[in-house]
Amino acid sequence: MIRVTLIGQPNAGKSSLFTRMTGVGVIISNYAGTTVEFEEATVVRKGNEIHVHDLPGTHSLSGNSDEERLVMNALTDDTGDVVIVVADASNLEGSMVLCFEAMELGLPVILALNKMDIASKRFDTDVKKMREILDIPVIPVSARSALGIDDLLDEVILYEKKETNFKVRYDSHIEKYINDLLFTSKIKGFDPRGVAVKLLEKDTSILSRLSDAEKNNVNRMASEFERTHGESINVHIARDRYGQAGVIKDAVQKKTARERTFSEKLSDAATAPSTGIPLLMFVLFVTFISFILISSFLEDLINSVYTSVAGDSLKEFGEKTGGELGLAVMGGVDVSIRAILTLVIPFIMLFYVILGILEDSGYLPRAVVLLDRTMHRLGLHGGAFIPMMVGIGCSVPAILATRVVASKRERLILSTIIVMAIPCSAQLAIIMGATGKYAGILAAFVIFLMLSAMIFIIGILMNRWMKYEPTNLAMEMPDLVMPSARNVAFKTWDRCKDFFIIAFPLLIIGSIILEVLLHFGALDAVVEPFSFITVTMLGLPPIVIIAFIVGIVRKEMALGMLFILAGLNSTDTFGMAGFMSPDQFLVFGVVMSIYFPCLAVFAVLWKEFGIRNTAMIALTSLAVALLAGTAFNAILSII
Amino acid sequence: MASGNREDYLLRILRLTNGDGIAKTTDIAALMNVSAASVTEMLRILANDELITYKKYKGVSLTPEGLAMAKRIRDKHQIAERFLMDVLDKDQGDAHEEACKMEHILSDESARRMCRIVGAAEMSDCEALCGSECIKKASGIQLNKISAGMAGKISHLKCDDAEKIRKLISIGFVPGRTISMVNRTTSNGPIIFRMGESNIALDQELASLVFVNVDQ
Repeated sequence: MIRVTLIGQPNAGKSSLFTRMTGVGVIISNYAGTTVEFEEATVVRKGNEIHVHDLPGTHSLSGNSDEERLVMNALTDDTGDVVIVVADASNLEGSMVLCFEAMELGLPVILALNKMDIASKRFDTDVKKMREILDIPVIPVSARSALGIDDLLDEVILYEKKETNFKVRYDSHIEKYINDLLFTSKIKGFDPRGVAVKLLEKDTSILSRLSDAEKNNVNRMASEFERTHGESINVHIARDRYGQAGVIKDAVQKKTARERTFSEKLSDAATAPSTGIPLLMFVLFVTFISFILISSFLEDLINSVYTSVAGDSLKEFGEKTGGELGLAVMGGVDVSIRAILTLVIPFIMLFYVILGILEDSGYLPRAVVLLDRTMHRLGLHGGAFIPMMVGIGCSVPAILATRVVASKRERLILSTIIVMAIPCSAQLAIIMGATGKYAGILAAFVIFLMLSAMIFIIGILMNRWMKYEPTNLAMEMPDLVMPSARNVAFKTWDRCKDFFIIAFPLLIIGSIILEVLLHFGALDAVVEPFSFITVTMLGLPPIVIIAFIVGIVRKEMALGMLFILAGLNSTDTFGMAGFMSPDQFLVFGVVMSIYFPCLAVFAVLWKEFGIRNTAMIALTSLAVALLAGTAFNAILSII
Repeated sequence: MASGNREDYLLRILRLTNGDGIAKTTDIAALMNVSAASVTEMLRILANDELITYKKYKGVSLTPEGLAMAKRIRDKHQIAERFLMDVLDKDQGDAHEEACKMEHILSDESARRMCRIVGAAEMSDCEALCGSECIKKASGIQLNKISAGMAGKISHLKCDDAEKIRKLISIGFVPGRTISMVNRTTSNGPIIFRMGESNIALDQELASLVFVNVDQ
C-alpha cells in the first residue's frame, strides 16, 4: 500500500483533488478553511492500493496556527510514502513557498499544479522547466475538469525518492547558522537542513526537542541576526523564500494578454465601498425571499403529490392487518413519512442548495470583509460570518468551522451565538413550517427578529464579560466562479442524508411508541408531570412536552412529532390547525428556536470546549428558551 | 587583506559581546571557522593596537576605541547594503555579499554621503558613523495610509507581537514583494490588497504594521 498525504495552501483545492483521486466525496467550498478534520480514503489503480490522506490547508509549515501545528504533527508522526503539495497554479508564489518548505524538510514531494484550467487562461506555464528547476515531479492537474488525475496517480505509483538539487539559498549569515545547527537538527525522516531552518524560525514543536544550551544557541543566533540586519530572522527567511518563488514564477509563467473578465469586475464591485453593501443587502434579500417563496411552494407540491400517490393506503393496510391498533400505528408511520418529506425537502434541502451556491460562488469571503466592523461590536471579526451561515444549516459543522476565528474566547462567543441564536435548518423548518404556516408569516418574522436581537445581545454581553484578546481579519478573496450543480447537489445530499437515514426511522419508532401508549391510555401519565412547564408557563397543550423531549435528540423530530401528536387527536391528515391556536404556534416556535442543543451539538461542544462550558451553554439556552416562551405567552394572552 | 581580516574579527567580537561583554576565544574560533591558535595570534595583534583587552583563559572585550571602530564597520555594511538595494536596485542576496566586502574599503566620508542619499532606516543605527547629523528617515509608509490604485514594495513589518508578524508573513506579507491596494471596503473596515495573483483583505490594524515604499 502506498500512503499519500495531501498538503497545500487554503483553498488550493486539496479536497477537490482528494475527491477526484479517491472518488470519495467530501465537503468542498470556495473559501479557505473548509476542511478542518482529516479525511482519508483508499483507491486502487493498476493493482496498487493507494491510501490518500487529506490535511487541512496551511499557509506554511511553521507552526503559526493550530492547523499548521496539526499538519506538522501529522507529518512528524508519519511522513507516508509520498507527500503531494497541492499548488494553485493560478496563484503560484504562495504555493511554491509551501513546496520549498516541504522539500527543505526532505519530504518525498510531488508537486500537483492544480487549477490548471483557470491558470491556462491567464498564463503560459512551462511545466517542464519547472520540473527542471525544482528537480521533483511536477504534474499539472485540474480537480475541476479531472485533467491529469490519472497522471498524478501513476506518478505516485512510480515515485522513488531521490535527493533534489534545488534548494532555497538564504542570506549568507543564515546559511552559516544553518551549517552550525546541522548537528543539532536530527529528527527521523527529516532533512537536517530543513530542521535547522525550522529552528531558526523558532518553530516551537521542534525547538522543544532541544536542550536549554542548544535553545540558547538558537536564540543567540536569532537575536544577533536581528541586531545586524534590522529585521527578524523569520521575516528574512520568508523574504528569501518569496524572492526565490518570484524568480521561478517569472521563469515558468508568462502572462497572456487578456481582458478583465466579468467575474473580476464583479469581484471588485462586491467589496467596493459604494457597491459592496447594496450588493450584500441584495444577496441576503434574494436568499431570504427565494427561501420563503420556494419552500412554501415545495411544501404544497410534496403534500399533494404524496396524497395522490399514497393516499390512505398505508392506513387502510394497517386497519386490515391490525384492527384499531394497526390503524393507529400505520397512521403514525404515514404521518412520519409525510413529516420528513415536507420538512426536509422544502426547508432543509432548499437551504443547503442556497448555502451550497453561496459557498461555491466565492461570495461569502466578500460578505466577511463587509461585515468585519459590525462583527467587532460582538467581540468577533468578520470571519465569524461563515460559521454563522453554515450554522443555519447545522450547528455541528458550524462549531467546527469556528476554528477560523483564532482565539478560544471568540470561538466560545461564536459557538454560543450559533447554538442559541442561529436557527439550524431543522429549527428553520419549525419556524417556517409550524409557526409561519399556522400562525402567519408575520409570526415567523417576529421570531427571526427576536433571534437577530439575541445575536447582538449574546455577543455584546459575552464580549464584556470575557477577557479581551483581539484577533485580526486577514482573508484571501477567492475568485468568483459559477457554482457547479454537481458539487452543490452532492453537498446537499451529503448534508441531508442523516435526516432520511437517522431521523426518519427514529420518528417512526417514536410514533409507534406513542400510538401504543395512547392505545393503552398511558400517555397522560407521561405528560402530566410536565404540565407546569407546558400549560402553566407556556400555555401549550400538555402533550407538546413530547415534542420538546424528542427535540433534544434531534430538532427536526420535534416538528415531526408535533405532526404526529396533532394527528393523534384528529381524523384530519395533519390536524395541526385544530391542535393549537396561532398564538400557541408562535410560543412553540419561540421555545424551539432557542431551546436546548441537540445531542450531536452537545457532543461537539463538549469535545471542543469541555463539559463546563457546554453545560453552561445548554442550561442557559434552556432557561432563555423557557423564559422567552413564557414572556411571549404572557404578552399574547394580554393582547 | 590583513586589515580586512582584522575588522572581521572586531565585528565578530562585537556580535559576541554585544558591545560590553566578554567573548571566549573558542566562540570566536567557531564563528570565524578557524583554529583557536590563529585566533589567539590575531587577538594578540588587536590587543597591541589597544582595540581589545585580552585576558588569557578568560576571553576578550572591546576597548572604547575598538567598540567605536567595530560599530563604524557595522554601520558601513548596513549603509552599503541599503544603498545597493534601494538606489542601485540590486537584489538582497547580492547586495549583502557585496556589502560584506565594501564595509572594509568604504571611507567614512563616502559612507556618510551614501547614508544621506538612502536615508537611515528607522531600525538601523548609524550613529557611530554619522553622529547626530544624520536625519533618520522612516522608510516606507503604513499600508493603511496608501490610497486605492497605489502600488509599491513592502519594506518591513513592525510590531512587538511576534505572533502577528508570523501571521502576516505566513499569508504572504513579506518584505520585498510588490503590493497594490485594490480598494477600501467600509469606513475603518478591512482593505483589499493585491499581491501576486491573489486579493487579500486585511483589517486596518494589521495593515498598519506593514510598511511599503510606494512607487513614484
